Amino acid sequence: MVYDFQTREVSHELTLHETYTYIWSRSLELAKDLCWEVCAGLDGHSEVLRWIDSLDLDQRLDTLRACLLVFSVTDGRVFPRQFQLEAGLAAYQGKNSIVVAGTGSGKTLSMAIPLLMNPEAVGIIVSPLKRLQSTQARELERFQIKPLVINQDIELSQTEIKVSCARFCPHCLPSVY
Amino acid sequence: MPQALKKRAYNAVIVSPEQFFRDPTSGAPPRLLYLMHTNQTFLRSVKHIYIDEGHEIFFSGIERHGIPAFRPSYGELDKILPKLPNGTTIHVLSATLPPHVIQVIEGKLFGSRERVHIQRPLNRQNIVYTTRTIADLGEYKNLSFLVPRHNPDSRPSGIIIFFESSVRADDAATFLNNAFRALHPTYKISRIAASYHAGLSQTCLTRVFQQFCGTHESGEQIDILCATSCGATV
Repeated sequence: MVYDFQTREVSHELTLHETYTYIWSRSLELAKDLCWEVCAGLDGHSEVLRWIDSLDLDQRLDTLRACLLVFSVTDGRVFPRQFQLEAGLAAYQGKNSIVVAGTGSGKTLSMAIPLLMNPEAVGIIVSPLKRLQSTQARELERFQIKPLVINQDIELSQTEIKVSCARFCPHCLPSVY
Repeated sequence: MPQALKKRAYNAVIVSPEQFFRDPTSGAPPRLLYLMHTNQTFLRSVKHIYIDEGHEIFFSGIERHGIPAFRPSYGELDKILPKLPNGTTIHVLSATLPPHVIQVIEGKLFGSRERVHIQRPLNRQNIVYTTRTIADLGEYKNLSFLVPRHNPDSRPSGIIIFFESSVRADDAATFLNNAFRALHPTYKISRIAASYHAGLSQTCLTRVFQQFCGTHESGEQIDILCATSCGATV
């Protein structure tokens, strides 16, 4: 389920794939207009959009795409904040980062952004507590990221491990699809 | 790029740091290490590594003041970087990174690698910091100040106490419930404190949290959560 920018409502039929195609087909100006028109009213969106205007030209399109993607995968409920975009885009553009932000400020979305922007990418998230891991997994699912939690408690059989591996390599075991 | 979406099953793998290293006693590889060794497609697709609660590298991962590291794997995460594909980006995230901790993390993980610093203000208007020195963490009478002895009819509300271990969280909740029961007869039927940690089932955690928020269908109210750090992420 994603937000459909053409009908301006949440769609059950539209796939994430089609949303990508639509967002990636927008030029800088069209993406910007779409953000202003569609996302209006969401908390902090105008400050973020003004900040995006102040970025270098080559940064602006990626940042607007990230905003539209997050907006779409959350059914039009979430517009990313500046630090989430800064951290997410840094990773997407191949930069390392140290992010210091308060508990509950939305660091998980900054991890989700590069994984949404590049569907071929896999991110490994190192997290200290099992409870935190499951909370993070649920949070990532909100952004239509598919998480796999691996810790000592997770009872993965050898078969499941093989299936998990195969899912990363569709040629090994096509029948899992 | 969109084609990749159809093929992809997982794009985030959430792991404990111990998953990168062989078990020190049995030598058995944990599941993630097994995956990394046996599946090149998986390994090649890794583009980012995120170290959440990055302060643990300093606080749990290295020997300090003569006390051995609590979770040595945190201090050895730098050793896995050469195993990851070239260009894998490293991200350290935390709410608690004072300068001396950042310095250690930078030395261990980043070295000469360039990195971006993103800092959000941590202070909020309704936070007051205070410390109190106590002799023994297992001595729960330190929490007695929460029990309104002079005004038994008033109930404290909306309190979360954080503990380093689930055992201490359980013990503290028991201590507080007993203290309230001794004070007021109505507390004999309802509990006022509950523990909140990974040892509880998801159903139980949800119920306790709803009771804490006052939204549980039974109308039961929990006023004090004794939580491990997982209580910060609900």
